[in-house]
Amino acid sequence: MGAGQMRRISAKEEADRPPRIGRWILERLLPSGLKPTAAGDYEEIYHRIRMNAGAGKAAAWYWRHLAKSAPALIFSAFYWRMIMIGSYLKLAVRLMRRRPLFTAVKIGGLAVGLAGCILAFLYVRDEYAFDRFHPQVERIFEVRSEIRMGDDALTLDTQGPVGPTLAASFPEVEAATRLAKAEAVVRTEDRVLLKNSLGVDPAFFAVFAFPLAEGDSASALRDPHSVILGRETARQIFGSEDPLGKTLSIKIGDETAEYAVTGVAREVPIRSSLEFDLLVPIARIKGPGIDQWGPGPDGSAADAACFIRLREGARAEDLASRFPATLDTHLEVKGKAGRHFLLPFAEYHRGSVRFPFSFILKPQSSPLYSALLLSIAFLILLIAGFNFMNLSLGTAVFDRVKEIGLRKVFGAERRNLFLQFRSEGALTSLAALAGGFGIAALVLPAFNRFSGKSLGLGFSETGLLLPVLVLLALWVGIAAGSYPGWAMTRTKPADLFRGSFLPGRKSGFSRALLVAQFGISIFLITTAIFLFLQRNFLLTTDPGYEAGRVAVLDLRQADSPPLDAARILPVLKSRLLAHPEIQSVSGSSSALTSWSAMFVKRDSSPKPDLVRMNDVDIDFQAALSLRMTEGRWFSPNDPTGAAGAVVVNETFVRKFAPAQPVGKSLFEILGRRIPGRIIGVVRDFHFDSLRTEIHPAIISLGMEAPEWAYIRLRGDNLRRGMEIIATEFKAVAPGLPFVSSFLDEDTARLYESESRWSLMVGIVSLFAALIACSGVFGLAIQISAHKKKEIGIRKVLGASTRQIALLINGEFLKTAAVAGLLAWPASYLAVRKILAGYPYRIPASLWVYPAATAVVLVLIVLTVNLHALRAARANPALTLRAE
Amino acid sequence: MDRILTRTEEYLLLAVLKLKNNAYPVTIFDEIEKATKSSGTIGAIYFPLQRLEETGLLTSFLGNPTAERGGKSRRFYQLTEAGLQALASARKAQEDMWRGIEWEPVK
Repeated sequence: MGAGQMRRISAKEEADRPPRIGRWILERLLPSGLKPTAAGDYEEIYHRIRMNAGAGKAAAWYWRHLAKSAPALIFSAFYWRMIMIGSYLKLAVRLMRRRPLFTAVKIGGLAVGLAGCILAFLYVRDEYAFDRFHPQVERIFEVRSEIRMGDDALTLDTQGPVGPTLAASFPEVEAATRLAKAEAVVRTEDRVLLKNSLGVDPAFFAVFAFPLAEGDSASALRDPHSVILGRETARQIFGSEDPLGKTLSIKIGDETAEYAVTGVAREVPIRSSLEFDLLVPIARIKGPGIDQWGPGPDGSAADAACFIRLREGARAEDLASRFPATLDTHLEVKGKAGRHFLLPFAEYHRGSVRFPFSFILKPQSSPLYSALLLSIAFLILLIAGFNFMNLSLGTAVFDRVKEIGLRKVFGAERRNLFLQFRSEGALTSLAALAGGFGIAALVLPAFNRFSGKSLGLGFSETGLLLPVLVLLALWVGIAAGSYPGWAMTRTKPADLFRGSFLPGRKSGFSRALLVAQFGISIFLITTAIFLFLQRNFLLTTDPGYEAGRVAVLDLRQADSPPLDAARILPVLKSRLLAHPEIQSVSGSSSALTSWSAMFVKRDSSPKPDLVRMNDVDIDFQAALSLRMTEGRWFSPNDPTGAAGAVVVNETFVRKFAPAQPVGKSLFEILGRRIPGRIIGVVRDFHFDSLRTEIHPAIISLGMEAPEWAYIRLRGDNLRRGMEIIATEFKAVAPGLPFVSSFLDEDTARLYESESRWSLMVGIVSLFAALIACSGVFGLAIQISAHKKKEIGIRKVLGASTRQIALLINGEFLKTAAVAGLLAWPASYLAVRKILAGYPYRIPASLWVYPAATAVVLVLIVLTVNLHALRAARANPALTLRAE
Repeated sequence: MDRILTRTEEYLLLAVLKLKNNAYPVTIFDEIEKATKSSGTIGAIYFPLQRLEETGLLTSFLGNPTAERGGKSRRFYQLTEAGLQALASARKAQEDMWRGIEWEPVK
């Protein structure tokens, strides 16, 4: 049959044919089943018309009918393709059924990868959704000021009048509110509640979207003694009663006053950087001085955070460009000029713009975590995709060679074979996506606990994620299906039948995939090990004090006579010391990690130093087991309070008083009106977490306002000790809440995020290694299939099973070694970047790299030998039979 | 035949029947255009022809390539036994529907 034959067509005949471009278009439009004949039909009619009516008419006919036919032809091509895909899918399902283990590994690996992506997407989306409930949040800015100090700048809040000035005389500003935070003690008849209060201006509600459930937001805070309660707080205090119009006794700072409830705010959304239990006018927290420029009568400047909402279309840069001539003129401190600037609140949470430390807002999250999670998810997906490809190729070698060969013999086009592999890939990846959602749903509760988020997989939460993921999964499946499709279709049918089909061997592509998989696994494992080591380092490094067996007692609510801490602590102390279980009791005016701070400028350095201060009682050294390096600790005869004796730490000595610190006065050293004479130097200890360097510190003796008690227990029965403390506390301070913890647990909690992240990366890297191993499994099958004859011949020539197994393993081990060499420098750089954030960190131990590589090697050997041993044991008579 | 033929299918089968050994898309298209006097396009008959072949009412074979066809073959169609039956039942259905109607078209 001459179906496909073409007669040679001379140049003359060519001129008589339909327009060349038209023919070309028609050729593209025709479905493959019509290609051999249909163009001939068009041409025949063209020929007829040309004979009867001339070439012009004929060409017109040809073009007209081409246009008219196009929809029908396109539909037809589409229809047959769908039919074809349908039968490919049927075939794919049959193949999957035939090899359930393979299919499970293939789908499972991709499902894990996609689950990782789902979680990472949810996390990052949540980060980005933070604070977005404020309409047009990009119009909200925080105003900050800074004072230049040499090369450095000291960043401050803004002076009180900045907010009102901005609102009154800058047309770009729609609304401005000042914010200040303070603890509020709310007293009811039977209870004392400690609440987080926010002092605001009435314009607060015009800047932020915190709607009131009850009351009128425009007028609610106009009265200086009004308060708006959060819904939860209102419920706690008033139960089901209507709180509007009720009065409450609230203590903020040192001032107790009666407040009238004028509103109830709706719950603050979870994804909000700003949180509060109750709102009061800002003057209640900052005092009346807040409305004046410069330092108030008592010498202290009243500063507050300031947030503004810009008018629609106003530009922050334009506004900021007018600050030098206006706001900045108020910011001269001792002749040093300062400036005001704006920070975009929308960028606050996810940390893409670094904000100076804020007392008002929840901590910024690090964009590093989002980046880390996204890149890990991407890497896992990459590995899963590679592995998917390798497994497809593995199955192809096993089951499909003859099928594909036969299809080619029967005239299947490359395009069709491609379509077949791609539709199989798409089917598998959609199944994997379903599995991925399953896995994500299973892991989500744990993930939420670990990330401190409350993510959900509901439709409302995932929203746009679903179509994106479907597309992503389809893309991965189709891309992964293309490679085996390509490898198969380019091989001649004869080679397919003879079994000398060698995908990847010649191209080196499989090898490259393998190197990438191993490399990523080794990279992740080394990173995880370093994160874990750093976390252990933080937890086990001696903080310079003994945290074990120390109970911490929160006395902050013992703040008013007769039950104020200064009065109850001595009583509690004497009663506790009567118990043999209690070794020592001491008071401190600040908790560890929150000692007060001031900036001190040295002549020798352009940058001011942060000096930390704390008032403690005489037993503080004993309670925390602090060591002295010079001089002595306080004695009962030392004068307390102003002009008293002070103890400084080693860092203080190193920075400020290089020689003979003991006996010097602070005034002499710091050049400031700070009283005190140094009587001793305490060995450096980490009163902050190990995430910050130890600051210079001044410890003075003073017991006017202890807020915390540190109680060292004797013996190992800690629970008994804690019971004694609770009993005695209740006896001494009836009605006050007993809030306590153990110091070592508090310290460990400081490094919770490190614990979480090292665990997370560890688990994920193990997953990555497992997925990579499933890819290795596929490849091992492929390689032993390639080498079937080689193995047969070797065995005939006397090679042992062990030698053969080594031969197969060697391929992989060599590849893993190459991957290791590539992964090490990458991992070194990543780890260095992560650890750079810690002033106290583990050294970059070299053993980690070979160790991580060894883990991967062991996994590889185990996986390969699941199959390689079978190949090595195969009877050469059977494998060589075919030739 | 469970399904009643569509009008297009019926015409295609009739054209093939009428054209005997010379039924290929060009002649089939001419035949239908002549009878219906409507101007369709040849591109629209391929898909129904393929479907009829798929459902077993038609078979086809390739002829020899010719020069005026640009070196392409003709695909000739023939009715199968099932095709003939389908036409018969379509015709019967048509006649049954008309039976008893006493109305003649004008002219």
